[in-house]
Amino acid sequence: MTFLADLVQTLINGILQGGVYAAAAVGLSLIFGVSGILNAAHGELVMLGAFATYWLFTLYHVDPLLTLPVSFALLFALGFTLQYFVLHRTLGRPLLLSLLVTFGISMILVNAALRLWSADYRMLRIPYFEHSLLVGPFILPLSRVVACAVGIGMVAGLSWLLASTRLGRMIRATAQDLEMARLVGVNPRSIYAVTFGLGAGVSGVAGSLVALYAPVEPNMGLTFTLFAFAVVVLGGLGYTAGVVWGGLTLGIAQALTETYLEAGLSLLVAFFLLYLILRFMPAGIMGKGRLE
Amino acid sequence: MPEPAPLLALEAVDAGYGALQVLWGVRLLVRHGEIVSLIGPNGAGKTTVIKAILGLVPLRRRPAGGAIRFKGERIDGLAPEQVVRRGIAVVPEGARVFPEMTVLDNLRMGALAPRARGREPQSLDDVFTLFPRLAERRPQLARTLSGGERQMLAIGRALMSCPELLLLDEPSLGLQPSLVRSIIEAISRINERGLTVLLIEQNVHFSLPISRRAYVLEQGRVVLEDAGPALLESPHVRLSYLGV
Repeated sequence: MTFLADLVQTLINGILQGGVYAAAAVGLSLIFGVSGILNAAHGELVMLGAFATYWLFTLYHVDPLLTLPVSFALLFALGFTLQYFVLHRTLGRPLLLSLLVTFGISMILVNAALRLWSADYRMLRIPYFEHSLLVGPFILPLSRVVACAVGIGMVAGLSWLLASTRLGRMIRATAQDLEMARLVGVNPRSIYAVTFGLGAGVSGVAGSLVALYAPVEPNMGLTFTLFAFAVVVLGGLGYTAGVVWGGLTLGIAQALTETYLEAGLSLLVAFFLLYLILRFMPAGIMGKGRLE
Repeated sequence: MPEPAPLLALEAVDAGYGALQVLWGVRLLVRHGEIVSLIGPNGAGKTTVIKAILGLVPLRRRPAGGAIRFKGERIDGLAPEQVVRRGIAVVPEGARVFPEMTVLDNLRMGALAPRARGREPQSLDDVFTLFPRLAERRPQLARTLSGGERQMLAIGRALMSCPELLLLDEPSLGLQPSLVRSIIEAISRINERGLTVLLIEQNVHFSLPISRRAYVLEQGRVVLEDAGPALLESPHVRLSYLGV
């Protein structure tokens, strides 16, 4: 009985973590799917979102949940600007160029954060998030439940925007046939910038969600870049909603490893899954990825 | 009284791809309400004419390679998205529908320009009246359509922008003759409602009779210009394009 209870608790932990992974990866998936840019500074956007929430709460006592839209707006503005003025120049060039430029951006962001805020680990102390929901024998920490629910909700919201709005149609059309999109009047430079802004904005919100339960520090980004990359490939490249499946898979696999093997293996698990999926199911878990 | 400015005018256009010049001094006029055909063998530069109008192929710069005017204003040098927003719509070679979008979303993509947005419901009705097949296929992804349906969708998408000039590049390419006929009939009907058309079409048998005027393009130069039906009778066209 305790074995079963342990297993269920482990799965719950994995799902709660997986929802946040999905949120932290969806921006990477969107940007890569539309403009073909593999954003090596992805995790740094998550880090900046986490710091936005930390400082707004610490300095101005803004409720952490109310910082989410601020985090989105700040990161949207940063992402839009980066794409419009810098990354725009890498479009239509080899993938390596955008990878190098975004890697440079990540170095700048990490070092600026270290300079401004030091390498200290900082933890939010939010009284009303410190309790847990108890369901029978199982423990669901409130902060993680909220982070997971908001994260999945945000992925759903982004999918809805892509599927059902004029902006979403313009983004999809640009991804499918750039020249034809221009021939119906789409300004590609703006659309790429808005897309990058959206991707950065949701990544910032994901960072804010992480800050609800985990420490914030300037070097936290790299892990998120790697996890997000794994999640996107697991879910299927170019299939935005696939990050939910990829995130849950990674979250559950890591939780199982932590409970039954060794707590320090989370990165290894990500790469092992990445290997398996590329070897056996290259279109992702749901088989809906686009392969080029 | 002076004649009103033609809707579209190509004035001695030289254009090409990098060092490769394709068009040599092309002069071409399209007046309000006309169907004008552009015919010529493969590789003559017909598609390049359309690409030059749309800003996808630059005019030669030094010495200046002519000018392209739409409603009297120069449009050469504008980006494609700026050209189409002035009221030109295109059905490109191969239809180029957005494959992973539904028929309805493809049509809505046509109505991006501010002046077309308000009229979207009305335009949709018009397109579905013109091509009832598209109404049936509304929720289907465009990649599941047949070749003829894709052409209808591409024409519908172009009409959604409420254009003043419609450019069509080989709308019947690869279609069976009965479909060619129905596409050409649709173009004729669209024109009767007042839309001006510039048409590239290999099936001169179908296209020339509905054309007010036509140009023959060979090796990047306009070699012949006449009324459409008259051109169909000319020995040059009969020999080169009809093989009789």
